Amino acid sequence: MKITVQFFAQARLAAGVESATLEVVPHCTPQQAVRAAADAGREELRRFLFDERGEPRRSNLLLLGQRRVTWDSVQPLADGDCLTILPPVAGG
Amino acid sequence: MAANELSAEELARYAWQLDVPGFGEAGQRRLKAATVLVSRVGGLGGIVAYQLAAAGVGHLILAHAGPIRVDDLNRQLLMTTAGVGQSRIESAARRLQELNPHVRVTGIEENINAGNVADLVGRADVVMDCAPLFAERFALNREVVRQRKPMVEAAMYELQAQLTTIVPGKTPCLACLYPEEPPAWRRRFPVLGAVPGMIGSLAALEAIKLLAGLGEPLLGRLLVADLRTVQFQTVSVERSANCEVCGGVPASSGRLTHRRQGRACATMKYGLFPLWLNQCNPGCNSSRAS
Repeated sequence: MKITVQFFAQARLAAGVESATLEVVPHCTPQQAVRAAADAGREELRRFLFDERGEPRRSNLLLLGQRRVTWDSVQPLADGDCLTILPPVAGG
Repeated sequence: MAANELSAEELARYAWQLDVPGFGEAGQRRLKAATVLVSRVGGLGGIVAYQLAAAGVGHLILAHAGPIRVDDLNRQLLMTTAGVGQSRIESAARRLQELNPHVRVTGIEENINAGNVADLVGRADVVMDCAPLFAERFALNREVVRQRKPMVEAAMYELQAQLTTIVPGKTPCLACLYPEEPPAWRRRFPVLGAVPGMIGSLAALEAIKLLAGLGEPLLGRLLVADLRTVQFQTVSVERSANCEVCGGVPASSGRLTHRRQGRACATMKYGLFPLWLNQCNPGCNSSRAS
């Protein structure tokens, strides 16, 4: 099935694109979808999303549609879903 | 004249906002009675402070160390070219007083740190988090949760911005959203000045809405703005049951125990400390919302 992954802030910089449409396995979880985006993207994106041990950097917020989901969410994605990666940003 | 009564000059000054439905003189008196802490008065906090001063918040506490730098001037609208090298706080305080002499401005030449956060948060009714470093933001978050004070969280990057309002016990705190210090955040980042101009104004409006009991603040909602394409979305965010900071704070029932003029009293609506008790119906004897 196809989903869209949107990148915000520094994730967009790391990805080099604002969004990507990916082919993922049916019923994949949000984390699996992000891993698929990392696999399909630049090495810079992978390092931004996952640490040296391959663990997700949990400071990055994940949004499924209009709702925040956790990295451990087991909610399966559906065809056409939009997953947003929202890194933390601050003031200045 | 009682402390929060409005003078003829104030009534004239705020005339346009006194006509805002649901605000009026009662809302204005609430602003006048309030103290707001603004953490940093740079691009974001400067706009926040300016809008709150314009609106007539009675007391602003500004915390920011250091002198003005020339690269502040693309976004820090309380600063001036002539002030480069001089105290940021002094410039901010002067500009705010020039705009509105009715506002008491307390300038603290320090950034929020472990040594001052308890005292500064303790003096405020609402906290505005406009700080560039997550250590400061997390320190403020821990303290507002400890003291059960509401905090408006504003942030930006490039042409994007985020905004949410934290009410401990009701909404996620900052640590619910970001449980780890982000490794990729840098003190200097790309941003155009109009971005904090926008999100700073929205942040100020959040504080005004909290204080005056007006409209619907972003409680349990995160506003995400991409100004490159002018797209805004609000997403639902929830408390994390395992949050190390607010996990032990009991959920506020938000039970409404009284109404005023057919509407919920602002105190009850947001579960905030009853600042305006004397503004409620004479029969109101409510204590802090449970």
